[in-house]
Amino acid sequence: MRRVSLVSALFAVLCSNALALVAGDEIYLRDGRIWTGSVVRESSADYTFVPSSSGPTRSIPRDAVRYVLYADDAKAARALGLEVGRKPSRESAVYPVRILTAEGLGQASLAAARKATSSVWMSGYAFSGSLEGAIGAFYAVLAAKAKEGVEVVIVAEYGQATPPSVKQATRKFVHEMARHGVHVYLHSQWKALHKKLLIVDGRTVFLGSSNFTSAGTLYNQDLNIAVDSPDFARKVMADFQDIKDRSVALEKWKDR
Amino acid sequence: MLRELRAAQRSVDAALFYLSHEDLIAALCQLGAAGKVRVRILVDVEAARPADRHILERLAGHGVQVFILPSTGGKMHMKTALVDGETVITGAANWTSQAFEYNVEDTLILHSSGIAKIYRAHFEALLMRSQAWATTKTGAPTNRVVALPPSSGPLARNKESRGPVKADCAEIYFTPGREGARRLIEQLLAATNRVDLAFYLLNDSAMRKAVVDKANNRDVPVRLLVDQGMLAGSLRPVLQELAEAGVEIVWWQANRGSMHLKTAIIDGRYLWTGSANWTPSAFDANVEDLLMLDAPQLAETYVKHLDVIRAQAQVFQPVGQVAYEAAPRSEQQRDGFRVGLPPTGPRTNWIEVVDKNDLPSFETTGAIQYVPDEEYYRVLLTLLGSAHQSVLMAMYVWPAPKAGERFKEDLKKALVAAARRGVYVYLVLDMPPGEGDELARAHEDWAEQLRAQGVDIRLHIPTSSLHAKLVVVDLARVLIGSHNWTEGALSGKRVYESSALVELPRQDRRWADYIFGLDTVSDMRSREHWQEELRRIRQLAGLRGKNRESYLQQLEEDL
Repeated sequence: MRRVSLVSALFAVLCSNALALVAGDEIYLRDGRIWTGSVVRESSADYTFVPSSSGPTRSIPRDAVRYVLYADDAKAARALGLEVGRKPSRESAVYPVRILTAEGLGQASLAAARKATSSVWMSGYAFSGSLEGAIGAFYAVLAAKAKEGVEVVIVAEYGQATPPSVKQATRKFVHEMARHGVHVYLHSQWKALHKKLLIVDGRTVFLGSSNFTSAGTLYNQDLNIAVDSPDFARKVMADFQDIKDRSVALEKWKDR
Repeated sequence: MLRELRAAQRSVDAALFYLSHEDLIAALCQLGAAGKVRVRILVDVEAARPADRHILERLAGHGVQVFILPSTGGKMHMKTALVDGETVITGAANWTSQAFEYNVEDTLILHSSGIAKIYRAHFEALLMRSQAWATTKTGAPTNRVVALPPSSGPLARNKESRGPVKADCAEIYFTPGREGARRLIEQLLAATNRVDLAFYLLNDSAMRKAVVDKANNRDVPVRLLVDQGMLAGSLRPVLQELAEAGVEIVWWQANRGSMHLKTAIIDGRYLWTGSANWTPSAFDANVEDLLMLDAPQLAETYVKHLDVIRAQAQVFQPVGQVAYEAAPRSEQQRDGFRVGLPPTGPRTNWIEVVDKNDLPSFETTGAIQYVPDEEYYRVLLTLLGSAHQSVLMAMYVWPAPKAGERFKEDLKKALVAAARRGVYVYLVLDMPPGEGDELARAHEDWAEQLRAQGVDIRLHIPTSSLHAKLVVVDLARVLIGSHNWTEGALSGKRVYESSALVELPRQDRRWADYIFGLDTVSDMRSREHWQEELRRIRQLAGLRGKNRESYLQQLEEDL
């Protein structure tokens, strides 16, 4: 214990008026109800909800699905420090980026492939064995472009760990492609190829979670991006080239 | 405070949990840049996180010596400054505009060489354990003097401002350590007249027991003013218990302000204040100050001020049986989060209500960076570490960790750390269609583990495949691609992967719409609950026609 005697202290209390409650926050519940009022942050984990109509203060229920805090953007920016969240990146160049669901990717990749004039590079983990449906149309465009003289390169995973059903579909797919003059490479190392890349004319890059299969271009819950940027494409192409170099051309594969 | 700082002749030493008040920063910078006064600032390690670095950079750029106290399991929670080694400024108020403009706070300015000596020794001891903070930027301004607002105006709307008062005796305690708490309890139990308490947080079991015991004696009135936050969640039972023991409780609410005091006044004579809430972490882990002044005049001023606040506050109504959605009290609690419940309150701001069946592709613009193979993991951890408000994610595969693997486990820690900082962390994991699937079990295990630690994990419905691998930080930085959270992909050793980091020039709520629009199991209260729902969804998926109709009808009746 430490004691000190004879202290003189100056005292000031800094306090504001209790501000009137302003309705502005909304909580959406799973059953469709909406609460309006004010969400008050306590500790990092605890929030309280004060309804705008007179009612008891309560904790936010677990069936809340969405919160709208501060309908006013400026207020939100001040209260939540939004500015900090969007510090500019060190890479200054900003490009249009398309965010594509499975179906969006299916349509966009088909459109891009149709317009290809010099090259289409693609790598993937799984492919459809069937040439039916929307994905069949995409595969058909790849074949047609190869015939026209566009450089079409496909690197497909064909490793030990790949499930037999996937390998079977890939085998069917690559032989069909090769028949039309597509350059096919099989990747079969201990380390698996899971990159899902599509690069058109050395500038448009598609990249994401979708496999170029029916599921990946139609109905899975997938998300991908498409970017038109030669700078970005250059980096992706260098990586693609590297993977291609680790792979075996289909015509040599037959000998193994 | 500004007057005291500006009048400094030799030195200003400050230990500050938060420092963001423009006038106070400017005053420190001005002193530092002038070069006459040695200015040293000691901050919690949290202040060095990216969001707040600019403040430290600015101070350092003006010649202020900045020190970081490495984390020792607690926070450096003090809000104390020493001017010329003679004057102590301390109390509950962080050096933020929030504190001075909206909260109920106290700040004491103590002109006492005796008290100053103790604080000075403590400050020097803390400095010994600290590291000098190095700026990352070069070319920071060194001589720029920031113009200050006119010095005559008050710092804030002062409701009360009294002249100097005398104290006959002071006791000063620093935490971690329970010496001060023990002394406080001793004094509290010995009170013969009245006990006045005002607390932002009160859930330490020893302090709680002391208050309950005192109130149960019914010998003196025990009055407690709390912040509205004490009504929430796991804190409410504390109020319930105290109220049942006879404590007169009121709670203070304001749209933006908090009742942030940590004050006890015993018998209208002994004033206890400082930075320490009555929480276990304050006494056992944090660096805090607890100051006791034997000063009847000052204590009276405090009591009067508390009366003013109490008049604006609401009376706490205890209920017979708490019909609260809280988990049973016996349930295990970890890290302050209630087991089985999501943390309530994402800090992100989104508005559109999504039609769940319509998650369209969309266009945006952003800076883009290719993130192949092993680079993903570094980018991911950096993103999680710098998240400011929210981390929203969707993931297809996150297997259970095996012996000797570290990436998945470290990732888990990063998610928990973000949640503990107050970031809203929401993760949807895919559920394979088959029951008893190994990956399904792993995802359920993650959900169970991490929900208990404040990460809001949801399970995707098993009837459609959530194949996306997506991390969205603060609705402005997006990591998207082919990387699953397998050890092989995270380490970059087993799988070749391609992802990209898209940095948007401004926040985009459509990312929240996308991720919140994913169909997830709705009842995530406990494994039992979600397994029941999964079972129903799987069963429904297998039914067609009439059977399906009648099963749906049955489900509806059950509800």
